[in-house]
Amino acid sequence: MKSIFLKKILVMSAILGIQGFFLYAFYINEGLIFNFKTSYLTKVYLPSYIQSLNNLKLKTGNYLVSVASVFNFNTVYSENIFSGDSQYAKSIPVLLYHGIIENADGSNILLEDFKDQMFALKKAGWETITLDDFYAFMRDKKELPDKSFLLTFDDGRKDSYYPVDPILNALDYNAVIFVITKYSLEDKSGNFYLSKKELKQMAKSGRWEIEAHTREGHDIYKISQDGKQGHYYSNKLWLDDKNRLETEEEFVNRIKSDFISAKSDIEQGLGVEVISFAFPFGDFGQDSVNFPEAEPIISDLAKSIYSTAFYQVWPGKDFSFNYPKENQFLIKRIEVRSYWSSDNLLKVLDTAKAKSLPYFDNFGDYNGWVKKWGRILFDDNGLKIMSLEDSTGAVTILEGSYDWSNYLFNSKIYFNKGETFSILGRFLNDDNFVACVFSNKSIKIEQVLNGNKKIIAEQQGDFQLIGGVYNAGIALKGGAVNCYLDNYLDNEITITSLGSYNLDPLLDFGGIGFKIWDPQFNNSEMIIKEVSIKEIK
Amino acid sequence: MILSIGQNKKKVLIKLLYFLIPAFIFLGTIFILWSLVSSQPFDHDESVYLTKARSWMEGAPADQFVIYRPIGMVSFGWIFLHFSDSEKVVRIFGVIFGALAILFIYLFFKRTFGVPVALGVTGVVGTSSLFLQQASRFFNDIPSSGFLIGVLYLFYIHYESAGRSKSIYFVGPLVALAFYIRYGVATTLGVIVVLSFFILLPKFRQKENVSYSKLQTTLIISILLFTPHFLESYIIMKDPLGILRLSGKAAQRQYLGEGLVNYIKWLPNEIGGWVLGITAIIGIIATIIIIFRKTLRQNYVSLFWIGSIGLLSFFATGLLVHAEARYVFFSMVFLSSVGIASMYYLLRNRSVIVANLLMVIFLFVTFYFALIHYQNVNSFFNEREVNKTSIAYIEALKVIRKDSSSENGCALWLIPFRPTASWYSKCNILIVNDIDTFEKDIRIHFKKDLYSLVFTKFKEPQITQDESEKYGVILTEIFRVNKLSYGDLIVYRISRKNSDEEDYLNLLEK
Repeated sequence: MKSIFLKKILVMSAILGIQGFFLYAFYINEGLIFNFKTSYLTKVYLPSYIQSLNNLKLKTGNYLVSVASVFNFNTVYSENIFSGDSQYAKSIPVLLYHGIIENADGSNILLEDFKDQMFALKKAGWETITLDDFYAFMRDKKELPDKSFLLTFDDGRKDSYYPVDPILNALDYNAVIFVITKYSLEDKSGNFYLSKKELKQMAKSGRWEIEAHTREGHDIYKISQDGKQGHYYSNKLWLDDKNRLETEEEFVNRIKSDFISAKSDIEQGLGVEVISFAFPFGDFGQDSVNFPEAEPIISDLAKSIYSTAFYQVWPGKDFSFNYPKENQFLIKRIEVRSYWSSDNLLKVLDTAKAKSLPYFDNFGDYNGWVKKWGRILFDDNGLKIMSLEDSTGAVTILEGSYDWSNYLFNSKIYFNKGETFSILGRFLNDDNFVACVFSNKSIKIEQVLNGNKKIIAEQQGDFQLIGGVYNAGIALKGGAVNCYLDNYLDNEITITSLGSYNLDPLLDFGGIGFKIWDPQFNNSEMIIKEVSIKEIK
Repeated sequence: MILSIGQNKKKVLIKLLYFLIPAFIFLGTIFILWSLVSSQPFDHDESVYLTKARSWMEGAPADQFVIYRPIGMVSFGWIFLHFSDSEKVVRIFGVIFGALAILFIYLFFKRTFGVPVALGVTGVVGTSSLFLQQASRFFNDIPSSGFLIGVLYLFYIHYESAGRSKSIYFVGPLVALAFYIRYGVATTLGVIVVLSFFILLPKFRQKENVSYSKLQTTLIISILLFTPHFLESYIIMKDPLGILRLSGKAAQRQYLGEGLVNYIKWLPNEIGGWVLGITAIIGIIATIIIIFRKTLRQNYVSLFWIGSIGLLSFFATGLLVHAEARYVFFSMVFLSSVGIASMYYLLRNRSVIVANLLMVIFLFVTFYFALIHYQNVNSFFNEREVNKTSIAYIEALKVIRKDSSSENGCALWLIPFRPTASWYSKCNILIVNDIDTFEKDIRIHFKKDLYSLVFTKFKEPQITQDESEKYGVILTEIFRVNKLSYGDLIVYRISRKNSDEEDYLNLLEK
C-alpha cells in the first residue's frame, strides 16, 4: 500500500517537473517571465556582473589620444581622435521614455529593448543623476562625473513604473517621472495611469522623483470654429459657448492656472517639492497654430513657477545634450526611438557628448555629424553633404562641439557642385553663427546674429572652386575670425586668407559645421575628407 | 489430442488475426495517406503552426499566430522542422497520427461493438473524403479526434475490468495530447465526461469489487497535465479559461447554430462522402430511438453511450462554431458507428450469417466509394499543386525571401493568404488599412526590408505604384506575373522618401 502511494507521488512529481520545465521554456520564448528574470538579475546576476565591470575599468584605463597638427594632413593618424574622456561631464543628456511595453506599437519601447539599453548604458559607464544634481550642473554649481545622464518618463503611466523599477533597482539607477495630475492625483488613474498611492510609494523608494507634466494639457483641444484641433499650451482654444477664440488674457490665465495646479496637485497630494515641468508634446509655443506669440508668454509663465522645463529634441538634427552655457531653463530631452537598439542609443550618446580639443575626424567612423538641412551621408571618400530635389542647399554640424570657443578649424574638402560652400564656426543654432563663405568670385566672413546676416569682411577674386580639393578653414579667437583657403590643384598651392576682428561678443563660443548652397534645387554637393580642430591658446 | 492441437492452432490463428487486422489497418492507412501527401503549398493553418515553430527555432516572425492556436501543434511542428521544412516531410505528422486515429477507431469499436462493426466503421471512416483530405496534411482535427477515441478505448477497458485495468493511466497523457493539439476538443471532452458520468458510472458501480483508485489517480494526472494551459491562460489573459473563450470567439459564427444549419444542409454527402453521411444519419435516428426507449438504453448501453456522445457533441459543435466538416469528424465517426452497429444488431438478431454477409457487402460498397474519394482528393491536391496563381504566389514570396538581405528581417504588406505568406517569405505580414496604420507599422518594422505584394484585381487598400505618393514611399518592382485569377501579381521593394530618421539611423549604424 505504502509503495503504491510512493509510486503515485513519484509519478505526479515527475509530471509536475516535466510540465514545469515546459512551462518555463515556453514562457522564456514568450517573454513572460519578466518578473522572475528581473528578480534573478537583481539578486544573482547583477552583483557579479557589476563587479566584473569594475575590474575591467581598472585594467583598461582611458583611451589613448593621439594629437594631430592642423594644416598637415600628411601626418599619419593612429585613429579618429575623439574627445579624450574627461573626468567631469561638460554636457548632460536627458533621455525621455513613455511606456515600457510587451508588444511593439511603433512608439513606446519594448521591455526587452529597454532592459538591453539600460544594461548597455551601465556597462558603458553611464550613470543616472538626480534632478537636483542636474539643476546644479546647469547653473555651474556642481561638477558631475563624465557620462552622467538624467532618465525621465512622461505621462505617469503604470507601464513606466512596474517594468522599469526592478531594472532601476538592479542597476542602482534613478529616474524622474512627469505625471498628468488630473489622472494620477485625482483618483482617475484607472488601469493606465499611476495612482496617488503608487506615486507615493515611488517617491518613498528614493528611485523616483515626481514632477509635473500638466493637469489638463495632455489632450487635444478645439482651436478654431471649424473644429480644427491643437495643443493646449501653444494655442488659443475655441470657446464654443462664446463662439470665439479665447483672448490673450484668457489664454494667459488658463496656462498659468494649469502650471500652478499641476505643481500644487503633486506637492499637496504627495508632499514632495516640484521644481520642473515637462511640456506635453514638447510644445512650449514653438508649434503654435493660431497664436505665434505663445512662446515668450509660456516661457515667462513657466519661469515664474518652475525652476526648469523640458522639451523634446530630435538627435541627428541639432545639438541634443545640455550645456551650462546654453539655456538653463529650457532643457532638451532625447526621446528614445522604438527602433533603436542599445548599440544605437550608446552611439547617440557617445557621438553627441561634448568633445574635447584637439579633434580630428577622417570619417572612418560616425562621430556625430548631424544634418540640419539637405542630406548627409558617408561614402568611401568621406562625408558627403548635398541638397535634395526640394532644397537649395545642405548644412551639417558636429554634435559635441557646442562649447568650443577659440579654435582653428580646418578641413580637406572636395567641392563638387553649387554656388557656395561655407565653413561654419561658433555655431549655436540656425540663427547664431559665423561663416566663411567661399564662392568662385569671393570669400566672405558672415556673422549671423539672431537671424540677421551681416558680412563683416569680403575679398573678391577668381577662385574656380568647382571640382577642386581644398584645405578650407576658419580660425576663431575672441572677437577675431580668419578664413583660409588652400588650393591643391595642379600641385600649386595658393593660400588665401581673410580676417576680421568684428565678431559680436554674443558669439564667443559655438560648434563647427559646413554648408553648401546653390540657387537651383538639387545642385549643390561637397565631400569632406578630413577635419581637424585645434585649440588656439 | 488431434482435436486439441487443432483447437490450439485455431486459437493461435485467431490471436494472430487479432494482431494482424489492426497492424494491417494501421500500415494500410499509412500507405494510403502517404500516397496522398503532396508538395502543394502549406495551407492557412499549417503555416500558422509552422511559422510559430520556426520562430521558436530561429526567432523568425510569427505574427499570424494567435494565442488560441494550439501549442501542441507548434511543438510537433518544431520537432518536424528539425528534420526538414519541406511540405512532404512535415505532413508525415498527419500520416502517422491519422493512421493512429484509425487504429484507435478500430480498437475502440471492436471493444464496444465487436469485430464486424469495427471493421465496418474503420472502413467507412478511413476511406471517407473527410479523412483522406484532412489526415494527409499538417492538421489537428483528425489526430486530436484519434487521441480522444484512444482515451475512450482505454476508459472502456477500465470500465469493463471494473476498475482494475492499469491502461487507464495512459488516459491522462492521451487526453492532454488531444487537448494541446486542438483546444476545441474541450467541448467534446465535456460532453464525454458528463455523459459517461450519467450513463456508464451507474453501470460501473453495479460491477463486483469495483476499484476507484486508478480512476482517481488518472483524474489527478489529467488535472496536472491541464494545469499549464490554465496557468498560461491566467498569466496572459487573467482568466484561466481565457484562451478557450478566445478560441470560441475566433470561431466566427454568424449566429448561434449557424454551424448546425450548415451541417444539416451538407448531410449526407458533403461532410465526408455518401457512406459516412448516410450511416451517420442512421446513427442519429438510432440514437434518438435509443434515448427514448428504456429497454434499448438498458440493453444497448454502449450504443446509448456512444450515440449520445456523438449526437450531443455534433449539436454542441454546430451550435457554437461555424461550419467546417473537419470540426465534426469526431461526432461523425461516433454517429456513423452507431448507424452501422444498430443496423448490424438488427440483422444479427434475425441471422448472424446474414448480418455478417451484409457487412461484407457493405464493406465492398464502402471500398467502391473509397476509390472515388481517393481520386477526388488526389486530384484536389494535384490541382492545387499546379494552380498558376498558387505557384506564382509562392514564387513571389520566395523572391522576397531571397531579396531580403537585412539581418533585421523583412516586413511585407499584402492581402491574401497571410500565414502562407509568412511561412514562405519569412517576413512580418502586414495589411494596410490607412496611412496612420501604415506609418505606425513602418515605425514598428523600421530596420527591416520592406515589400508590398499586390494583386491588381483586389479592391482592398494595397501599396501600389499609384498609391506610393500617398504613403510617402518609393516602390521598385522586383517580381511580376500577369493575368492570374486575381489579376497581375506584382512585388515591390519599398523605400522611404527623405526619411530623416532612417538617414540618422544609417549614420549611427555605420
